[in-house]
Amino acid sequence: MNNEFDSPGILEWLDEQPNEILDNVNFGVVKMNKSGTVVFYNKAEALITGVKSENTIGKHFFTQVAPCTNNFLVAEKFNNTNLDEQVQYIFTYVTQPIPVILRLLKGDCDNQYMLVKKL
Amino acid sequence: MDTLATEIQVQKMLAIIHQIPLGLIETDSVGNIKQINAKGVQLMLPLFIEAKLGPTNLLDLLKLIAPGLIVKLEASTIETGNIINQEHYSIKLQNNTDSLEIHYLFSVNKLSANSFMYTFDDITEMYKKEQLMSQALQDKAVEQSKFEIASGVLHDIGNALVGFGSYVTKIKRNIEQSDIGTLNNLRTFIQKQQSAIGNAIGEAKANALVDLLNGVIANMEQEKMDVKKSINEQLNIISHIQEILNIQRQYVKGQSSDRLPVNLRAIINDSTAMLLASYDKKGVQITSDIPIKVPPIKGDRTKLMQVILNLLKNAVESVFLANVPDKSVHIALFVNDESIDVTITDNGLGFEGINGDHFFEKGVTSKSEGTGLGLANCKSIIESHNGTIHLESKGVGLGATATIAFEIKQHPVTAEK
Repeated sequence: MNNEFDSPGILEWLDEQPNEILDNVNFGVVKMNKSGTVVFYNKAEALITGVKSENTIGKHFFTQVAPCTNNFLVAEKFNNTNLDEQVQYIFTYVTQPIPVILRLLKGDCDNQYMLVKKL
Repeated sequence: MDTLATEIQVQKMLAIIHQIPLGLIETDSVGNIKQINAKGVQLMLPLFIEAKLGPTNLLDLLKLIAPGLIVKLEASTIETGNIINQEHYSIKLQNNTDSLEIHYLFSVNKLSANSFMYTFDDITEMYKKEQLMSQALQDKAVEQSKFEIASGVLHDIGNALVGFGSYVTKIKRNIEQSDIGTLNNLRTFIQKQQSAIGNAIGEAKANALVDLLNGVIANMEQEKMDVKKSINEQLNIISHIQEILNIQRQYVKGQSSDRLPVNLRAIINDSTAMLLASYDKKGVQITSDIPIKVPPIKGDRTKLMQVILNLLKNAVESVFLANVPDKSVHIALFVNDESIDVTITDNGLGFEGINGDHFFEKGVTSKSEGTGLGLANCKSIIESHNGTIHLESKGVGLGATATIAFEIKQHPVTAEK
C-alpha cells in the first residue's frame, strides 16, 4: 500500500489521486505547487488546525496560512529539489500549540506536499 | 469595531508576530505553552527533543537548560512587568558525538497572573565572534608587549656593550703605554755601564743581571702581545654582538612601524654628504648621477640609509686599499618602468668570480676585521622592502658594482609625507 503516512512511494501516489480520495485519508495533507501556493487542503488537516479549507486555497502556505512553519525547520527545507523528511513540530498559528509529526515531500511531480499527523 | 473586523486585526497581528525573527512564547503560570511563533519553534523545539520532553511545557525545559532563570522567576513577586531583561544563558547540549554549547538571550515579562511572555534569541554566533575578537585583541596586545620587552632588552644590552667596549679599549691603551720602554732604557744603561758594574759586583753577576733584564723584557713583550691579541679578539666579539643586536633591533622595529613614502634621492644625497669628510681624508672622489624626480617608495628611511652608508663605506675602503691613481666611487639611480635601480660602482680591489652575492651571506667577509654581518644585514633590509641586492666585479683589481633594485609595483606611489 502506498497511501499510509509512512509509505515510501507516497509522493507519486498522492500526485495521482483526485481530491476526494485525499479528503479521505486519515492524516493531514497540504498540497502546494512548487512556489508554495496551496492547491488543496484536506479535511483531516482542517480538523487538526481548525482552519477551513476554503480559507487556504490560492494562498501562500508558509507566509499566509501557516507562518508558524516559516522557518528553517520546515519552509526552508522546501528549497531543496528533492525532499522526503519527517520532522517533529508544533503548530501554533491560530491554535493552541499542537505537537505534530510532519512529512515534507518534494520530487519530480508538479506539486509538493506536507503531511501532518498529530502526536 | 465588529467581531469580524477585530478578528481580521488579530489575524494581521498574528501574521506579524509570526514573522518576527525573535523567539516568542506565551505560557500560563505553570509554564504550559499558549502561543509560540515560528522562530520560537525553531529555537526551542530542538531543545525539547534533546531533553526528551514533549513540546508543551516551557518551565519543564528551562529547569533543565537554564535553572538560573527558574530561580529568578520563582523569586519574583511582581504582579505584572519585567522579570528578566536580556540575560545571557549558556546551554550545554550533550550530543551523541560531542558536547555543544549554545548561547541564548532571554527576557521574561509577566503580562497577567496567568500569562508570561518569553522572548529569546540564539546569540551563539555573535558570542563566538565576540570571543574570537577579544582573543585577537589579547593576542595582539601580548605580541606587542613581547616586542616592547625584546626592544627594551636589546637596548639595555646595547648600552651595556658600549660601556664594556670602552673599558676594553681603555685597557688596550694602558697596555700600549706599559713600562717596557723604561725597562729598555734601564737595559741600555746597564749594558753601557756593564764593565763598571762588573768591576763592582763581579763580571759573572753583571752578565747575569743583563740576562735577567733581557728575560724580563722578553716575557713582558710576549705577555703584551698576548693581551693585545686577546683584547682585539674581544673588541671583534663586541662589534659582532653589536651587529647582531642591530639586526634584531630592526626586526623588532619592523614589526611595529608602518612604512611611509620615502625619497631615494634624498636618502642618497644625505648618505654621500655624511661620508664626504671621510672620502676626502682618504683621497677618494665621490660622484653621483640621480634624476631630480624620483618616485617615492614605501619604506623605512633609517634602514635604507643604513644600507646606502654601508655600501658606500665598503666601496671607499676597497678603493682606499687598491693601488689606483684616480680613486673614485660613483653612485647612480635609474627610474625604469618596473623598478628603481641604485648602483654603487668603485674602482677598488674587486674580487674573483663575477658574482659576489655570496658576500651577502652571514659570516662571509673579505675584511680582516669584518664580522660578515654588514652585507647580510643590508640584504635583509632590502628584501624587507621587496627589493633585490647584488654585487658584481670584473675581477681582482677591477673594482666592483653593487646594485639595488626596488620593484615599483610593490610600492604604490603616493605623496611623500
